[in-house]
Amino acid sequence: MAVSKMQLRDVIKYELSYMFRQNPKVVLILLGLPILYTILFGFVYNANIVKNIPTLIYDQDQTPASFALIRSFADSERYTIVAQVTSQEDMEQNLYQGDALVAVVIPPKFAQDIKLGKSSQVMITINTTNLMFSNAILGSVQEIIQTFAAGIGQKSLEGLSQLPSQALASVAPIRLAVRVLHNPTFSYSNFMLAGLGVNGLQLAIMLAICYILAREYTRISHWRGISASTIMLGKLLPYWLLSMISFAICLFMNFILFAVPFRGDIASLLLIGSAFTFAIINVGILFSAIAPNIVYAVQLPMLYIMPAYLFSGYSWPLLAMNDFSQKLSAILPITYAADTIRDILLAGNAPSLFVNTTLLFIFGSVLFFLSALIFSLRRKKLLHTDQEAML
Amino acid sequence: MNWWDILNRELRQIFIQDPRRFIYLFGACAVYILLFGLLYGTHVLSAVPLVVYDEDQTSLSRSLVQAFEDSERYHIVAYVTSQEEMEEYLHTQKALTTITIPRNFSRDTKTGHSASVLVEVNGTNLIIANSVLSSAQEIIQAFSNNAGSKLVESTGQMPDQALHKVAPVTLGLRVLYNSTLSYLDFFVLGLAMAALQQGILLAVGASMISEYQNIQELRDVPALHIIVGKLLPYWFCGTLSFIMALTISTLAFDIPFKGDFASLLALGTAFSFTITAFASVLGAICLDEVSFTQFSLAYAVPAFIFSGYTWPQHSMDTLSLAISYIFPLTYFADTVRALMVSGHASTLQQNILILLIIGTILLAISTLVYINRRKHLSDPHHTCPHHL
Repeated sequence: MAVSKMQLRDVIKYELSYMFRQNPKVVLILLGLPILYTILFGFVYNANIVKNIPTLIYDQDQTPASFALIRSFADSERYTIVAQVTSQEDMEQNLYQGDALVAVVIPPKFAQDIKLGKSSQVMITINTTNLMFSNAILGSVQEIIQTFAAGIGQKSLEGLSQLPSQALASVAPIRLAVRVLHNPTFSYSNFMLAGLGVNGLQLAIMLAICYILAREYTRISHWRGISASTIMLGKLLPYWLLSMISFAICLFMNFILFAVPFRGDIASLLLIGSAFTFAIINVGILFSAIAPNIVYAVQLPMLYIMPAYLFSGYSWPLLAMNDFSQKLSAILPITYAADTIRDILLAGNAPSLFVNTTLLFIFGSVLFFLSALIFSLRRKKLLHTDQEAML
Repeated sequence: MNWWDILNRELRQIFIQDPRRFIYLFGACAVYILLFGLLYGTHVLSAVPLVVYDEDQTSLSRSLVQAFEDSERYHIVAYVTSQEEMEEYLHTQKALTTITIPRNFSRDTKTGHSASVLVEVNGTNLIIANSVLSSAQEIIQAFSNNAGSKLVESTGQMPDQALHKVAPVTLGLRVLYNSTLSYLDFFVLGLAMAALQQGILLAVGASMISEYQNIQELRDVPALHIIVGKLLPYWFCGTLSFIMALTISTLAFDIPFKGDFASLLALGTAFSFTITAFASVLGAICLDEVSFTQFSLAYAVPAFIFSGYTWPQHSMDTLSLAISYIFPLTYFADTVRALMVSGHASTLQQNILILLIIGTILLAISTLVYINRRKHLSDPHHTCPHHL
């Protein structure tokens, strides 16, 4: 499998002119699709957290104490009070209609019970069909009730002639301090954008690369005299370069347009990016090498592209997967890249950077040689029939 | 030939001549449910690796650690004795969350100084951070109430009364519909509906493009007969595939089926109609199947994300909201989930109507394009556009 520099340069030149002149759709997809995705999804998640959740109040007490609790909900940016109802039926009706997604029920004698030292229960009803809302509610409602209860409890113990600070310590003897590392505001764009960009990039590579070998089978005599590995290398390099440019632009847009933090170093990012694009391009090359025609070459990769992102552990974490899912995720290149890229951006370091980079390069190389083998076999066969036809 | 003959011809193509179309129509959706049913089969997050740094080492601190150990949410991977060691676990991601119990924790609690417990969590993955946040609050709260009531008891109050003093207001949660907060119930239906859309798109695309490539073959048949005869089988198969998907998700993965069948069927029929019509227009614009596939795959991700199925429309800005209204999936996926999981969707009728209107407009466009293209081709000077 000798590679001649002159021949390699010819193939590269030819492939570049194919991508830019003959079929500019290739460049359009490779550069345009990931950028389009980044912009679109950047705007979708612009709000970063779920706010102004439509909230229903059913205050059966109507006292200063219950008004104070309602005010704590009104003051939180998480909640927007859309209605105050006066009966259980109205409340259920509103929840049922989807006009409100959460209802706060303050029981009768709420204030009186507190004063008498009986505890009183505030009932929160949550519509959990969309877990985005439920997570936002569950993460904030405990805090609101807790703060309110501590304030009341403190006053009630002060009534038992304890000093204010001492009283507070008695009602809340243990307090929880939470430190959320790397993404303290729970920003959804910090969480999702990089991964969606990487997913867009792998989709773009798969859609653009389908022509790479599949079209050569229809004009097999063109590269007569040049080895299969030279042809493939010459074709791979321009795709790799363009994919890296696309990768860099997308991440750059994440920082500039959508304020995703960048705490790691560029070198690590480029390293994992190059390993990932190399691996994905080779997956595309393999599909293109085995496909009977170009339509198959663009449709077969769906087998990879469709499950890949969700199985990568990027959103639903690996630790929550069962054995089957973990095994499937272990053979998908994106598993080794998406999480690592987010770690570099948000945490500033990714412990598995070098292991993952190495794995991706090995994976890509194995696929490259496999495709080279398939390509040269199919090519030989075609050249042979070609020659017979000429005779 | 009339529309009935065209329909029969189309059925032959789907099931015999080009069985790829059959696979797209029925396979895509089914495979998605099976794959993602398995992926989210654990329903909720459990066993998040936790490191404990107990500086206090008293019976009270150990009982707090015990409370975390007893929760399914956590799996304690190590007990460390220094801040550095703990940071190291977080840094190498051997642990994703830590709990630090300060020195004098027990003494402070008992003498009425309040003590603070620090929970750190790696926030890069919000699913993990959210689940740690809400469960840690719950555990600490229960523990604190218990400790607090003992404290007040020591001032001579009765236990019951003491508890009321420290927890004068408690939180009762009523979780409607998806009461275990299962990710499976939350996510899988929408993914399956996105796959259904993709399956219909690819199957109809293959059909329309091959028709356009041999447009002379049916030159004597009225255009409306062709369009109707061709699209009816896909509309029907798409609806059938939808019912099959709901059946699998209920039988194999216990996804609740609370809605009434008629509403779901009406919605599924409307969506299948709209997507079939959409695909036929797309098939007229794209000149070959490769371009068609490229477009439809690139379309899939934004359609899903803008549909409001995960990130709610409620939290989108005006521009994103406007974009979300373009995608038929927006009127479908969320409504299917609401019907299945809660048994009710207030926007059902409105959404069915919108889908039918969009579908009818697209169908009209598709027919007009077909007539127009055929007219062009019967012109002898015109050469067939040939693209690779």
